[in-house]
Amino acid sequence: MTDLYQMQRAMRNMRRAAMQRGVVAILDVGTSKIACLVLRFDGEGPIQEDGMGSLAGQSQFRVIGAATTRSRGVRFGEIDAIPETERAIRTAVQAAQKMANVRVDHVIACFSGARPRSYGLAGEVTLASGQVSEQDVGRVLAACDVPDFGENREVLHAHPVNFAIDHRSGMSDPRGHVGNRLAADMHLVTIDTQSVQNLLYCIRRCDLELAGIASSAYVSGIAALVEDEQELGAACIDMGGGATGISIFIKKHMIFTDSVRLGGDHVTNDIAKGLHVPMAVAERIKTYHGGVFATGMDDREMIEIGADSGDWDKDRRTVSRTELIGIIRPRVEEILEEVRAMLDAAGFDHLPSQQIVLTGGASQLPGLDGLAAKILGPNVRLGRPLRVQGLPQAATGAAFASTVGLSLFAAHPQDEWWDFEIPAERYPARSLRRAVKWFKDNW
Amino acid sequence: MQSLRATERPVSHYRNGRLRGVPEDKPGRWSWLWSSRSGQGAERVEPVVAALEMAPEVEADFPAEAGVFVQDTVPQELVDQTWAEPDPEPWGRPASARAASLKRAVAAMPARREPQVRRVGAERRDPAPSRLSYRLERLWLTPYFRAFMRVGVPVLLVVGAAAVYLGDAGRRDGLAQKFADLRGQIENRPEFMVRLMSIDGASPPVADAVRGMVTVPLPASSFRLDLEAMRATIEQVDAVESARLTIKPGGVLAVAITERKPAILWRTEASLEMLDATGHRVATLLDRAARPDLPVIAGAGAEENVPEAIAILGAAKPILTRVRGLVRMGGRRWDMVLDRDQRVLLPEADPVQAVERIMAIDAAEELLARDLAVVDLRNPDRPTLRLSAAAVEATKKLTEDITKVAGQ
Repeated sequence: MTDLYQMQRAMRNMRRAAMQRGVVAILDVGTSKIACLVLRFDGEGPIQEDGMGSLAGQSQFRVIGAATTRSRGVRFGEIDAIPETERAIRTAVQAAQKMANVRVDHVIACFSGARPRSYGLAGEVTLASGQVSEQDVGRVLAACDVPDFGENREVLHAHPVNFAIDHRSGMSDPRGHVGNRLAADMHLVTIDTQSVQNLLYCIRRCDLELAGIASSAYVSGIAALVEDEQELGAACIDMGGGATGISIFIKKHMIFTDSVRLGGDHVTNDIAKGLHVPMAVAERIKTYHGGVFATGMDDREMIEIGADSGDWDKDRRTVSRTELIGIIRPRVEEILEEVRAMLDAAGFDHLPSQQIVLTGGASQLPGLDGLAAKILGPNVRLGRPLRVQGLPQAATGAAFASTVGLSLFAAHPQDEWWDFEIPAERYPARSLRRAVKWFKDNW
Repeated sequence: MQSLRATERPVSHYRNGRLRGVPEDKPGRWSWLWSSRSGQGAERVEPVVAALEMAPEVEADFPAEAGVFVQDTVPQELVDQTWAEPDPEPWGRPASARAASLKRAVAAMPARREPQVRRVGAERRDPAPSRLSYRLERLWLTPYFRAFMRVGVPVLLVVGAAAVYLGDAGRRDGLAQKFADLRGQIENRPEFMVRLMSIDGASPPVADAVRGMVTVPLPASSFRLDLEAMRATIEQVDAVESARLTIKPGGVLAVAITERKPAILWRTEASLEMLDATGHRVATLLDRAARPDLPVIAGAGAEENVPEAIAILGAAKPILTRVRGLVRMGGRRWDMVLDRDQRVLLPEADPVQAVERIMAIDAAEELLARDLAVVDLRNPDRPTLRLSAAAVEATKKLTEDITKVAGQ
């Protein structure tokens, strides 16, 4: 457990170094595209008269370089072909660097796959001095009983979501309170070690340093949910190319995440198979003519499939839009039903607010919100990411929710377990650091 | 739990492009290829779907190449079409123009897609930069490196080339020689030559002296004439108060001289010198009669107090014809010597005031016309007269006569 702690701490230090240098790259490794933003951090902007900076205080960074490239070698949000992915990352990073005209050495990355699984942890300690100090928070977090999440799993996020002192619960920051027992709830996300290693390897091969890593479902929730949705409870469904991420937020904390290994690429696949066209043509047809609700008008709307096989009869085929919708809809329904099953498993029904926000590139299918409302519940909206300074117009769409969210994450990461000190008794006995720590805590 | 180490390459079943083995935990030899949702829990095998997912990657006609953004997933043609500038006022113009704009609009419409025959073996360009070009690009974007390349390298190149060229002594001398030759050629052009020296404002003996001091052989180039040094040399002549040297067009060195004006004569044991009003020597005078208009001073330290002497003489203007000169006594005060061996002893402080006083007495009482030997004004509270020997005798005799008359 300690070496995980050390690695995450090292990444936090790297992030701090990047902040000091003022430039950090954001890398969203997706199944259909790899997006790279270069952020410049130059302190807080001028505070306006209402005491709040512009863009809800998010204006302390500015996007100075942005590039996307078609993703290669990524399947289901996981890196599959390492050299291909590395080349794609290089392409995106180089283009973004060129636009920013500055060299970037630190990168914060996110990806959607790797089978995230979330755990709720609880821990409890007795307060020695009566008043909760910084060390007590570290102690209670260290006292959380970590479940056995199996071989080859790595902790990605560990957010303390709730603190309780004696019988008072629902505290976000217990420091300074007085009581006898301090209890904490922690939300832990684990992913496959292999995926992280692959990503790390690709990033190292690009001469970059990883300064942070995040789940794409989590960061797109940060970007696409508005503040009151995060506070009152909402689910963000990030429909990507190869995976659909789900994250549930309440009280500004993510309390659940999962992902469905289905996405927009599967819809394209179905079209390609159903119409016997190449994937490129299928993607184009889906983008131009796709939908999920067929009307009478769609029977008459004939779509030229257009292929380049050289066979005149094959290349001049047409299909009605209704047929196309007939191919698309079952797959979309399947994705949404999977999402529904996961939300049910997570107990989303019991949350006070049932808001569902669809975002991600595949959420732009016309009529999807209506279909989602039938399957997931009535409160469905399409979410676009928060606007950040300097972001190109082309990168403000729903497909860039996780990219933008990752920028916000880079600027203001929520406190995680490793942001608190390890309590002295967790250090090995007879270590010098333990002695130093004991002196620090007691004097 | 394992830590993340990048050095650990994930195990690949492909080695050298060939499939080496199949994971043992999978049931069939190829079934792991199909399972899109392999892993714990729900095993959903979708053979048809997965077969296409595994199909060799088809290059999509997707304009999101490196650095180019697309409006989410809408292809670029559509974006262009949507954002094309609308014709501002199509019907307010003549029919020909309308037809032309219509033609343009038709031409701008997306053409019907011609079937593209994919050439066998034609490689699609990989947009990814090679590792080398990526690293070079990053190096180029490093600020210090960039500054070094843009400033440091050119400077180093120029300095290095110059150092290599000038490292050889022969080349250095040749270069210096060439430069000197060129300089000489320019300096010796007739336009810059000075042939004559003209002296203005000097009397002939002073002019001769000045000519004797200036030893620069003419003609000479004006670049080589050190006018300041020449001026200093000329001003060494005592009779020259100041000199102004200019080079006039036509190769003339014009020397404008201001001579010192003799104001007083200074008699020393050896000679008679003319001094100007500041006490600076002008010339030696052989004969006192040559300048009867100038008063004479004498005595040790007299030449150092010429302004005071002139002031005293100025005050003594009414009897100037009788003044033979001033004598500096003991290096601290003046005696005014008149004819008939009369002396006026002036005080050390305020001699001019004393002279004015004696002038006033003289004007009232004709004091100096009497037979006095010395008028001693050294103590201003107590001026003293000394009669001449004859006057003393005469006074004595007169006193005796008066006594006789009185019958005493």
